[in-house]
Amino acid sequence: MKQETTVKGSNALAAVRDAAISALISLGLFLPLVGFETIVNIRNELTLDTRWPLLFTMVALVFVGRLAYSLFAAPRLAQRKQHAAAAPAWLGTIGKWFVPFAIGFVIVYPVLVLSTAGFGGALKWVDNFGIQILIYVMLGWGLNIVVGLAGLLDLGYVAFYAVGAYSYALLAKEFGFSFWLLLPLAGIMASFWGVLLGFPVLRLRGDYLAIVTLAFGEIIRVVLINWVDFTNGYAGISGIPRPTFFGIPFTAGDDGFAATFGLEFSPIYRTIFLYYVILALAFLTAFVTVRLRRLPVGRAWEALREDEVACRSLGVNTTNTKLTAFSIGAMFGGFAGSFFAARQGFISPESFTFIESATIVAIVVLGGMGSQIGVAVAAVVMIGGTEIMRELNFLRQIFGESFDPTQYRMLIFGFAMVVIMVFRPRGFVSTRQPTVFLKERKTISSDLVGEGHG
Amino acid sequence: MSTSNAMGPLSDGVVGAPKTGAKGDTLLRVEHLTMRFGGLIAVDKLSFQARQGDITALIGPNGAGKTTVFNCITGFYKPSEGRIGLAHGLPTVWDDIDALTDSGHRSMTTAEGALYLLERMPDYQVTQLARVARTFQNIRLFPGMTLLENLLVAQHNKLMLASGYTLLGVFGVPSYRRAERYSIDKARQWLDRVGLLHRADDPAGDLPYGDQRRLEIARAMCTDPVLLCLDEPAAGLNPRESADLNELLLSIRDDFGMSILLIEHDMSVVMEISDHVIVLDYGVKISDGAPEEVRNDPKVIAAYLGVQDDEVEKVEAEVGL
Repeated sequence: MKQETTVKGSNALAAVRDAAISALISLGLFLPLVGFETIVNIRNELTLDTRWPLLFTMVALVFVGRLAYSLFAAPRLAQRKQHAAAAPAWLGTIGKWFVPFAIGFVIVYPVLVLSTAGFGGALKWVDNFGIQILIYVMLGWGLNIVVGLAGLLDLGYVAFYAVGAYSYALLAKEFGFSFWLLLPLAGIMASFWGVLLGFPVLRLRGDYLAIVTLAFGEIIRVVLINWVDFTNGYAGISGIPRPTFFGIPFTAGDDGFAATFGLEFSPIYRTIFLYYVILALAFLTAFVTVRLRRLPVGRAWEALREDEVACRSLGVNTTNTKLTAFSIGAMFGGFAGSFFAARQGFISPESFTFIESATIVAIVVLGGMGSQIGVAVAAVVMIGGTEIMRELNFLRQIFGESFDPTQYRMLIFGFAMVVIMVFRPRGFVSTRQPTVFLKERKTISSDLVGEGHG
Repeated sequence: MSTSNAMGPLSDGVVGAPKTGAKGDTLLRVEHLTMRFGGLIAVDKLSFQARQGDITALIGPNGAGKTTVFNCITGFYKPSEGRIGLAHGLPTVWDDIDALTDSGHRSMTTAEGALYLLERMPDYQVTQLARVARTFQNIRLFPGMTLLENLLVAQHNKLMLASGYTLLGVFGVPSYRRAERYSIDKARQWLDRVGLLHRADDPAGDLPYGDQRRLEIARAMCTDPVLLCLDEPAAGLNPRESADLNELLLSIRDDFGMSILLIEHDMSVVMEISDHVIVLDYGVKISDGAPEEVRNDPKVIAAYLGVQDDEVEKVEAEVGL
């Protein structure tokens, strides 16, 4: 009895010390960020103001929060970890029905939204949520080939997205080619750049590969900014031709889509059409990836992730294997890019910054490297979550009129990432499904699956 | 009957097992092999031969340069000097080795067979074209892939060709499906042979150590090699597993006429199964011959005991040999 109290006492002491350290770190962090404020005064001068009360409130919050976590939440979590060894049976049932349900849902989604939100409200839901999320699902699946299957950490994936977008924008404006012709062309173009990037970086591994791909992404962006004659620089390219419905444009005119089919004109038709285009593209990506995984090339990608030296000892040409992963991943990035350009009608280098690459990598890592379902779920959570932030207007009533929830997007984004990484360090779906089997397909635990070293 | 015909092109010709010579022909010829790492000479003007159908053992104390020789043969290192020739088919192909060396090419194919200069080939081609398979001292399986998948990756080049470099495979053409079935069957046979068929669908990382060793050998055999190089296959095995391994290696030699080159520390393995032993010390060959000859060579004993040649008798007397 006495011993127990002393153990508890030392626990409490450790918790206080831990909380104090956290408070100290947050003090160091928040001092420049929150403690000082620059204000432009009436004479248009920049003055430095201090916000000590706010700073100390935040530090105190961190202290109390950390203390509560280590005293109450942490022991309970540790306890639960011991019990949660076996996954409950209902999880398996959900897993089995999740994919068909999800596919059915995304197919009827526009109809569902139209019937609930009406013509006016549906536009936002199909465009901001549907199309936006699907673009990232597709990008995530494309990058998943490079990062998840082949284990090559690519931090410059947005470069291929940009190549696809600019290929479509420039070729469509200059030559007036149609979307359906330029879509594969943009994919080939991006794939070509993927091989071009692949060659010099093939000898690099792990962190070094990540740095060089990051640099490649930035180079493409800087070239887009500075090659003004070709890309129109910062100003970007506007008036990009929109895709048509098999030759019928989505305009208000007599030969437009609405008039042809005897409907009342509404921008929603184009949006719904675009929704199904990107849905088909995303399905294509998923289908091809599933197919490729079962082919020798896909198995070689995964073997490469597991052990590159062993691959070479088995006669696998690792150079070619890496290049195929880079080029196929880049191709899907290019498809997504050309769709993006066609949907926006306007592109500029601003859309292809490093934060885009980081978001796509985050989607792949959070989803679970190599898992199609995990990546899709992560994209819905990450991109849908950001979009939801814009909708939370009721927060204004709590925090005052000047409160803009979208400003806190990145903070919540980071917080969500930390939470997921704490609870599921290998992503939502971290197990691996074998590509072939003799008797039964057994799921492989994430402990055994390699993460790749470049 | 029809299925065996369909599989015909896979089991011979270019993509299947290559032509091999008769037992006793020279298969591998290492000449004046030297490997320097900066100022350190790991292997110094080493020459030896390995014969078709033999188990050739490369032994020596720690740091003698055995694994370096292996890495040179399998293309993982580029030797500083020397020539490593490998022959497929009739022994007459060796007559052309000087011509091939002067021509600057990596390999040549004649009606009688083919000749490869391994020191000129990148590692993956040594396996893909010259058909030299290897295992590693510290096992290198694909731990997150099943046993079956491990053995299918070993048949990568054959399957890649059958899938039309992926293009035909994406559409699931019947010829690819047939090739895949054939490969799975081959994998099944090898799993059966190493006694791991019941674990075919388990991840390789879940296997106990001894089973991982055997799986690695089965995987190397799935590449259709003419020469199997094993780097310390008995390391970390208990006496029972070691005996099983001996049996497996002998059966591979006898049933397939496979030539094996192995590095080993375990003398019981070496003396029991090898036909030919080469002893290295400080990168230099100090003995070469049948196991009994090598066992009684004072130079070998001296190297293993770590003393000078002329002190051998004294030390032997001390330790009571």
